[in-house]
Amino acid sequence: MRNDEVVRLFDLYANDLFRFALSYLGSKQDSEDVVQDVFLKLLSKSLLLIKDHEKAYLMKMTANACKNLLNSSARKTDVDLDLSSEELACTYDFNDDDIELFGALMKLDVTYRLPVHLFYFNDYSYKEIAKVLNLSESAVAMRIKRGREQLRELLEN
Amino acid sequence: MRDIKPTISKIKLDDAKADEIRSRLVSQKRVTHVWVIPVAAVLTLLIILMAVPYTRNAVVNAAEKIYSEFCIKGNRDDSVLILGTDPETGKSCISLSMTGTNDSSKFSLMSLKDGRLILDFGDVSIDITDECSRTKYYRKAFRLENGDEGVIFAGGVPEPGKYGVIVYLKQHDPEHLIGLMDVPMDAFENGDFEWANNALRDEGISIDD
Repeated sequence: MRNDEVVRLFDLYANDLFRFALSYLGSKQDSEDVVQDVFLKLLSKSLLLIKDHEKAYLMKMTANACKNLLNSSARKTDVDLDLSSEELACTYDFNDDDIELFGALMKLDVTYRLPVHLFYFNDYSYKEIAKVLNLSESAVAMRIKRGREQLRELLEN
Repeated sequence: MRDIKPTISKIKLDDAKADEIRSRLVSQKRVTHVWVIPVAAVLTLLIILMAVPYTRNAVVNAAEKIYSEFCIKGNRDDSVLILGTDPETGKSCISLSMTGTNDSSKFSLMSLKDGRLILDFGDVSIDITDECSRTKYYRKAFRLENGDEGVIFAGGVPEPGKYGVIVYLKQHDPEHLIGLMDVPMDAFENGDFEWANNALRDEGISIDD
């Protein structure tokens, strides 16, 4: 793929992929590595992506990269979230509400966290989420429902 | 439930890290192969390939510039995939001409008629159902006047969404592979498209190269 095309995709989607990877992995450093790997891999791929589908393709690449990293021994961290409240506040300008909400989100099991992230942040449909996460639409619906319930409980407590 | 968007939106890739990645992307050497995944948007694909504006006339004009040597009629009367030579550069190219509506969502290079898989090359229409399955594929090779080799694969089963076509042209001087896949985007992780994996493997082609 052409360098300028990959850079265009990077400028358009890097932050979205990073957010998704952070939601998946809970590690800033690992998420940065995943985003870098996805785009470098894209550069080596002989693909020309259709504009309507490029984001979905990149999200799927990111999901696969995160999954591979979690299954590999190369993972640098093994924690729910490698950023403290202070670091979140400082790095991302989080206020107390943001820290509470993000903390609760990261406490969700990754099984529920990812569909919730894609549904409520990316406005993805069940069908789109099913494609990215390689799940059935009914499984996606179930996970979003349970994730939403768990998130509500976490925030109420 | 509280809206997570305002919170998640604040998360951004570190500027220094973004610059570092961007620099690597700019300087990294790229491959020369070009594969295209059209999914259900082959018309958009043409616009990317030909770099023409998204208008019907522009698409038709772009396609007409190509000296057609081989074609595949799509499943619509107004569509045809042209495999030929660009007279200005002498290079082989793939293009799609669609003279009807711009809605390409129902476009496919292969037709499903009465439960049979049909490939239409314009002057001849071939029923390839018996040569195709989840794992088996039909193969047709041809050579353009400039010497470049082209290959068409088609496989799958005669059910909606479970068949597809792969086309590639091997350009020479410099060696360059251009291709087009009329298969679902996630086909390579889907058992229904094992034929596509087999075809590419048998041909010694990797879309990851």
